[in-house]
Amino acid sequence: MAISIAELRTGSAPFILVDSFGLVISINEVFEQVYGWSEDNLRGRPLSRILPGAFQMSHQLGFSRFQTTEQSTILGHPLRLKTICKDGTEINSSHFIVAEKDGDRWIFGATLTPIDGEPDLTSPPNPG
Amino acid sequence: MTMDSPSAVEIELIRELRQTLSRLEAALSQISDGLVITNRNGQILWCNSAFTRLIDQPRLAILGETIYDLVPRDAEGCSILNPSAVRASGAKGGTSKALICRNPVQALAIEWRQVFQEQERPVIFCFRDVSMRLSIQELKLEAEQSERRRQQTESLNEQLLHEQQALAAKVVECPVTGLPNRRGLALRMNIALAELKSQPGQLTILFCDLNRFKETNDLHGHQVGDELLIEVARRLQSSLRRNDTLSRLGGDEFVIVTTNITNQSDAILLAERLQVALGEPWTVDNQTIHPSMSIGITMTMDAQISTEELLRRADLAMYDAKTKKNHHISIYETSIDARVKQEIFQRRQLQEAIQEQTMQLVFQPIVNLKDGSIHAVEGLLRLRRDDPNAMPPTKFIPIAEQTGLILPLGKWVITAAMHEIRRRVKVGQESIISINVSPIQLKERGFSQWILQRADTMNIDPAWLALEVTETILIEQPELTTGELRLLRKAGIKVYLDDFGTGYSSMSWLARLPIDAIKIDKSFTAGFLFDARKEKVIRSMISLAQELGLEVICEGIETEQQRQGLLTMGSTLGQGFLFGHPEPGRAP
Repeated sequence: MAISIAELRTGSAPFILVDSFGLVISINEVFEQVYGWSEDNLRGRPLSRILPGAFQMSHQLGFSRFQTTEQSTILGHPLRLKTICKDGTEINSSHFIVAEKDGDRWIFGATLTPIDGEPDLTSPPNPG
Repeated sequence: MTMDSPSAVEIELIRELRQTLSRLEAALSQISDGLVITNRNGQILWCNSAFTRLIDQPRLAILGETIYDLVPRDAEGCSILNPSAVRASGAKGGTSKALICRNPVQALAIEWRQVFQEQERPVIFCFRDVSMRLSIQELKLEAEQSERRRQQTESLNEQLLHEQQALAAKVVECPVTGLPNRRGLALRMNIALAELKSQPGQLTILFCDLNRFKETNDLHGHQVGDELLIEVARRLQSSLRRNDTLSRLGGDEFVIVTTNITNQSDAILLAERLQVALGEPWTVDNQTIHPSMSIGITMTMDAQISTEELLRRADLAMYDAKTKKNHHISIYETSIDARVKQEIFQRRQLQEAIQEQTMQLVFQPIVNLKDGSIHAVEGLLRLRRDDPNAMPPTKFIPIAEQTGLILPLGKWVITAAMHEIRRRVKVGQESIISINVSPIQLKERGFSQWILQRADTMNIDPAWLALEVTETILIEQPELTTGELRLLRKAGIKVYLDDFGTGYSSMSWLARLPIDAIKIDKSFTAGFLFDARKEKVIRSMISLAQELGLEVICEGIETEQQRQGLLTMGSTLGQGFLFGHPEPGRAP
């Protein structure tokens, strides 16, 4: 059975909630502690704020594709990516993203668990 | 700080833009050209599916990586994209072509352009497969470049070879034994010949060749072989005078140059002394080796003779010494030249016969002495079909055994016999075909297995085959050979003991050998009618064999009287001209 956003939110990992436009709705306290961002820093801002520059185009295109087709290959399994901290440093982290319908709009919940060492990008799933 | 939620108009606009982006990306994924967008430093921001296929990596793995590290290299292993060239090309962009694989031809046309309108100056790359569009001119150019590179490599190799040869020419010492090598020997011989010019004397060359050195190498490995060579060098050196020269020509060949000998008997004495020194047992791997060598000697007073000729003579004498049964020492004389040349000619004739498959099996019947019916046929090898001047078996078999050619020859004979068995079975004329097997074949590992596999492959019943072996090999190496023969007999192949009465002929052995029949040698058949002692011997042999349950075949029967006499003595089978000469073609 698929993991729900509620389950992710109640877990102990850094959590972020994003709306259908890719704007941050909320983050949990662990997220604030790990990445240094406060909820105020991010709420209503594009999610791309916490993604490295090289990933932003793909992120936008991925969001666009999902909006048009409601198909994605990045949901429901861990992705090893980098996350930008408030101080500008990059942390390798495991992103686990799920999507749910909230009325007629999609919302996205994700845990971003820090990983020690360099990211293993030898066989990640194709985002699109 | 918080942000206001987007207005309805903004939401609509975002939706439209996202849809547009999605469709554009889907369209770009459909095209066959590889498209990439990088930042000004070449870090990949986006690429389409064709590009991920080109570099065979998933998209997520390459985002943020540098394009120059990811693109394939050309067929020469060079980079196909030059970062400086891309940067220098500015707004107008640039193009290049690269052959990334020669077989099959795979070529890429690459285009790039910086987007100057944007402040960040991203670069767009396009990779197009133009393998099918390479012009003949371009292929020709590529072939020319390849040829040029090949020539350059070849010339470099040649240069290296020359340098290597020049270096080798300076080396006069054998690296294993520390003795002078062939070059060192030639120098020493030239000095000795020059001395002969100024002061008449005698120059003696002893060409020494270790016997069965290959066996040592094969059994114990090359390292032990090298250790033995060092020991040989030490032993030979210890038997020589200070101003004699010992050198290693290569392999297991040592050459001694001496000016201290004035006559042939002294040369032979020296050779014998060397053989004694060398013959001391040498232990390795808990096994004792008894080294021995053959020595060819040549002596000269002629200062004009060349070193090559001297070595050739000593080598020929050594070759002659090898063929001697006991005393492996020989002194060169002109008759050796002719003899060795004849042997070389014969060996070549044998090799040619094997290579060109001109051999032939002829068949002589072995009959029932009572009624003349055919019991079996003996297949006999002839070297060249329909050539009366071809070497007879008495000549070529010993050469084949000396040179190891007996192994391929023996296999050919067995195969030919099996073909004949198959033919005879097919036409309903089944009979046993016997063939002669050399001791060397019997000693070869896996001999019996090879025969049985061959019979199986050719789909013949092994019971139609008989092998004729001589008693010498069975008695000299009983464990090895009887083991092989027992295996063959178990499969139905018969074993005949050939030339019985001419070798050891130990009666006590007869009971222990894995055989089915004895073949009494023709020397007994020829004389028994007029020689009472021979008659008694032949009678005893027949009687003993019968008591042991063995068949008896008497060879060389030429007259009716002989047939009658042998029949009276109880022999039932015979072979000889009385019943038929060896006939070519089909077995009788």
